[in-house]
Amino acid sequence: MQASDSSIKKILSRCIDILTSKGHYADASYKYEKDMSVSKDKTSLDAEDGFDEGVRLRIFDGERFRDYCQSGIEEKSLLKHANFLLKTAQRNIPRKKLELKIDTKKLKKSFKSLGKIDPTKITIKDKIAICEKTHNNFMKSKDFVNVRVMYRESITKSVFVNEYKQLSQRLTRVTFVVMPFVKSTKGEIRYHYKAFYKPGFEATNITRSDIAKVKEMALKVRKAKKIKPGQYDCFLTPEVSGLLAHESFGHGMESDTILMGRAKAEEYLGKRIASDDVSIIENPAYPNAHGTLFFDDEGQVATETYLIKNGIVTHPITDQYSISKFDKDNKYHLTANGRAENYDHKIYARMTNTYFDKGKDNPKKMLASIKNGMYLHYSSGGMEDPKGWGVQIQGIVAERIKNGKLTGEVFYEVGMTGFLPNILKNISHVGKDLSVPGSGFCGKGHKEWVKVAEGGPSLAIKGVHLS
Amino acid sequence: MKRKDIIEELDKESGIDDWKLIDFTLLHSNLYIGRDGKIDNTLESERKEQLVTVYRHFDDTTGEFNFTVGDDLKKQLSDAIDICEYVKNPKYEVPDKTKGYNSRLRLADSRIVRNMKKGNMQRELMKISNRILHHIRHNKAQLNMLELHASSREINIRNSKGVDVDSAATSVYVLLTITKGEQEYVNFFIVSKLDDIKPKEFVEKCTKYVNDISVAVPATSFSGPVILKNRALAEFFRPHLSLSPAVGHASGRLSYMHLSKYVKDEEIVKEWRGEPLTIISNPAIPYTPESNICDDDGVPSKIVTLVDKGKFKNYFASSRYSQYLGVTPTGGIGTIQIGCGKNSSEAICAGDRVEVLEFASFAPNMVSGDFSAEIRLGYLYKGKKKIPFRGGMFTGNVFNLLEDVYFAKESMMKEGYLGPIAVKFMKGVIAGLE
Repeated sequence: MQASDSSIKKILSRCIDILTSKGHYADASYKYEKDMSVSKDKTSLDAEDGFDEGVRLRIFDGERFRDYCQSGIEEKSLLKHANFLLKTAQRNIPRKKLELKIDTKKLKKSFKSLGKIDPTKITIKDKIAICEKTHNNFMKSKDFVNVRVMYRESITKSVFVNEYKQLSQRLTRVTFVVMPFVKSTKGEIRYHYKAFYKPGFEATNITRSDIAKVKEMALKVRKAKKIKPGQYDCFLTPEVSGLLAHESFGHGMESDTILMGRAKAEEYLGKRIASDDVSIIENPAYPNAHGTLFFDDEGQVATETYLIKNGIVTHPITDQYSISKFDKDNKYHLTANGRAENYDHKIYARMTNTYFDKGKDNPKKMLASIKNGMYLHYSSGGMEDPKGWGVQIQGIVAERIKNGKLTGEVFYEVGMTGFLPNILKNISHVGKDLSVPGSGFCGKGHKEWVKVAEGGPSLAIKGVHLS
Repeated sequence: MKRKDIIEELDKESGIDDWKLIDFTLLHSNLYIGRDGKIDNTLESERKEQLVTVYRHFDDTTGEFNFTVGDDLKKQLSDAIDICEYVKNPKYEVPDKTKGYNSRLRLADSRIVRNMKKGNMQRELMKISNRILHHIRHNKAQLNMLELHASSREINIRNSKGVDVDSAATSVYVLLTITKGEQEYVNFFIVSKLDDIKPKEFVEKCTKYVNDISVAVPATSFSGPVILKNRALAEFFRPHLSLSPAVGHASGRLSYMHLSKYVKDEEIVKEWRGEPLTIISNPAIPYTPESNICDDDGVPSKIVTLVDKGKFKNYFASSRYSQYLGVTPTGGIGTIQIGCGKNSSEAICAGDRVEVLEFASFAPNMVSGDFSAEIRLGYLYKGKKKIPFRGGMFTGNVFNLLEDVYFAKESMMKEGYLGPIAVKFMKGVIAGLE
């Protein structure tokens, strides 16, 4: 990281002085993202260390935002473009101005994520060594055709400046992925994927028990069958319940999606959608998760938002523009969900850490209560349908439950579908366990990728469509 | 940093055996339009990046490390030299200077390049958006959102062995969402040239589909002939998030990792009951976003037949993996071209069947070929009835489905797919919502 926080803030403040000189709202943000990765499998070892650095200047002319973005932090060029943005905004002043929701509380603060071991203090040699050690551990067994071990470290430094705030944050994220490949009984290659996430190098401290579980699941996948399509009573682990909260419900609560008339959730705001036991939270302030941040790309400080509270659809997640335009009655507040893929992408309303809130039920008893059903271990992803509320979660590994016990009969690449309100209504038990283990990326449609996490408690849901 | 200064540093550093430099500039001009047809946001950006790869050759191994050029290149190079000691793979050579580039391949629209440089691109995008909005009004469709993203990219790839190749490309991405009643239809396309944007046809198609989605019934279970058309078909052979399993198994890297099921000159499935599949990677179609002059190593891109009449023929492989496998490097992968069949689309699309036009997202397991994809728009043909439906899953395994498949003889081009306009899988399964 080349420039200091204070010198960056000074440059951005000079831009803000220009952009706000005629009374417009404006903000300036700097982002530096350093990504280091190591990948090891039976045949190759690769490592790379890249970074991305740039600035976004934004001005609001009363009707729309105008963004200018550039690589690096060259002051002369930024001041030139700040003047140009102001000139353009001045040319297009609308007759009726939209009142922009702005958090005018003055704040100057720096934040740093709380990982135990700073990965930048660990040598690449040691990062490679940990990948090789884990790889070798698996390859001792002939059960595995290959094993890919990936170490990914991301250091994000961002600085935000507007008339009211001067904020900076440093976020550290480390993901350690183990991906064993096995040959199925029919001779086809399959894989199991397990990611361990922490905000520091401690993500690589996986235990023997962790490794044993990964091996056990990979060997189950080897014998897995294709599921017979139908409706099943299901037990969802936090990995799968989180994806349901994120893909199927969370996307429909994004205020820009609501503003566009693309969200069925708009009809449900303030209304019941599930039983009292069901709550869904979107929380950028959840400690040490993959989507955790201290403030968003619009300088909004992170707090939790209940999307559903005790079964009632409660509050959307927001970006400044869309909530200002959508919420004419001023019912909702700004949430810290204005996020952009990078310094040169538009800011949209995006999720961070999304999860069902924990309930009262004991997961072991929940499992024991299912006579004939499926235990959904994990999944590879899903797709949103905010208007139709159709559900698509794919790549699920499911295991048959008989008389409350796992049978070892496993099904691979299972898809979950259905109509979201029906699925939410059919939640019969909400576990008292809670974890937010996700370490993936979320797109808006097929683009605008941001780091997120999903999770929650275990859930029991009746009559889920699996295929 | 200036390109020549980086090269000077790289050449000067005695600890480096070989190097590669990728220097690129990417300009963006985007327009975002809301439900009321007014502009919500504009965005202009200029991104510059310089990526260096350092190579060190040892007795039987090559060490390689990639990094983005920062302010202290000398320190970065010194670190990279050390790191190459640990990041070793079986020995391979950096590609030599070559003359095999397709110099006639045009990928950049001069109108976009000119307007980007002059700062006039927003005006061009507004003209296009106005035409799209006009057709939306004309078709009495309800707009939800419209985004137009124009980009212009210039890349130079050089290496220590004399490779020095420039390429330029442009693109315009258009994303439109319209609603009818309780349902929406999301459509997008990407083209290289402004003249290739056809607002009238685009909006008419979107309107027709959203009308059908608005009256669609929930999917019911079905086993039998399933025909893919439109985006569902393009996604089947060219998914957004990974390679199609049918294409991915032709990857030299996958083969080297012992994960490919393909064997040279052997059938890619157990038995062809229908028409055998042909897959070609074609990076040489002018003004196509998937086309390219070379890959990231500067190796010229070639048209490669991956699968010919059901038999695996060639890998697509980078310089490194081609050396490991003893095959010719192929450069960048391009448009996925699927061989057409003998019969017309009309002949294929006959009898009781399901036709799927749109998935929520087709994301197969690239290694195993298994998939389950939610259907956003399909039609059930029963006798003389045509019933639009949505929801439910198209489920199965790509390789199993290919064993009994028929391809239409007419072709279409869509998002990196060039091939039949309809493909019929005889043993399709739709898991319904009943």
